[in-house]
Amino acid sequence: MNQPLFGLDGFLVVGAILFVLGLFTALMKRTAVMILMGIELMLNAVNLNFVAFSAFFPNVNLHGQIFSLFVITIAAAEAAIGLGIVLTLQRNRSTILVEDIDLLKQ
Amino acid sequence: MADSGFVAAFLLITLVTLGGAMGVILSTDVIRSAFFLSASFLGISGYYFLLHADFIGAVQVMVYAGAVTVLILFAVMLTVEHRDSIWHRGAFHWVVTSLTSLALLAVLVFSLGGVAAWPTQTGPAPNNSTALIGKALLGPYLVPFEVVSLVLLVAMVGVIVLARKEVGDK
Repeated sequence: MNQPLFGLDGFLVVGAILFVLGLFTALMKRTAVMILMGIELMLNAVNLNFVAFSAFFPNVNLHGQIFSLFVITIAAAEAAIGLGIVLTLQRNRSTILVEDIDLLKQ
Repeated sequence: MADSGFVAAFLLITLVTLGGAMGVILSTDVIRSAFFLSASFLGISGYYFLLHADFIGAVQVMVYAGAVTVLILFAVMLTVEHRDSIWHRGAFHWVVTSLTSLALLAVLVFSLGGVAAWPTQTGPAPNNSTALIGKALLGPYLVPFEVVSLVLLVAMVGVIVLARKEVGDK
């Protein structure tokens, strides 16, 4: 990295760490709601990357910010539907632990 | 851009964001994890304001720290499992997840070293990003804008259908 630490590279490293923390959450937790929280962390990390690139490049354009706006919108819709699925799961199977949802297993 | 005020703000916001993410992982209570997640969202919003993306920062607070947090809390309140501890996972699970996460982090961070020099911004950051985003959404980005409002409508109807009480429910 040839830039000062808190230039673009700092934001990208923080975004990478946040993404990996979100991935760790999504992989280690047993509840479907916690896995959705990990997915939201990953989406936020990606948004941070987009907005950081948009802020640091010479021709000041806002494509990164507009893309992250759409990501926020779609992520909110996906969170709503995901939590609706979790509620339906709770109602039909009385559990939200993903390890108990194994009807398709051999 | 790297004067001491910027650096201090960056470090503080990093503390809040990554601390919130660590809290989501390490907390054993799902409701506490939801609040830590909300803190992380507010930290990300701080980054956006630091990068002169004021509209996106405000949207982040409204949508994520506002609506998505409340949505998650509603779902947590309506479900039965409130404890979710990572400390009760088996050793194999821990090893594989940690190795995968560290490998991904290494790839992401060390790929930054391959870039000789990022281009740096030559002009001042715009302070009217709301107006520029508005013009872009009704200009070049009109079709995605309309499509995404359709997506939101479909999502709303879908969640209402999914989550409503069936006839025989208590």
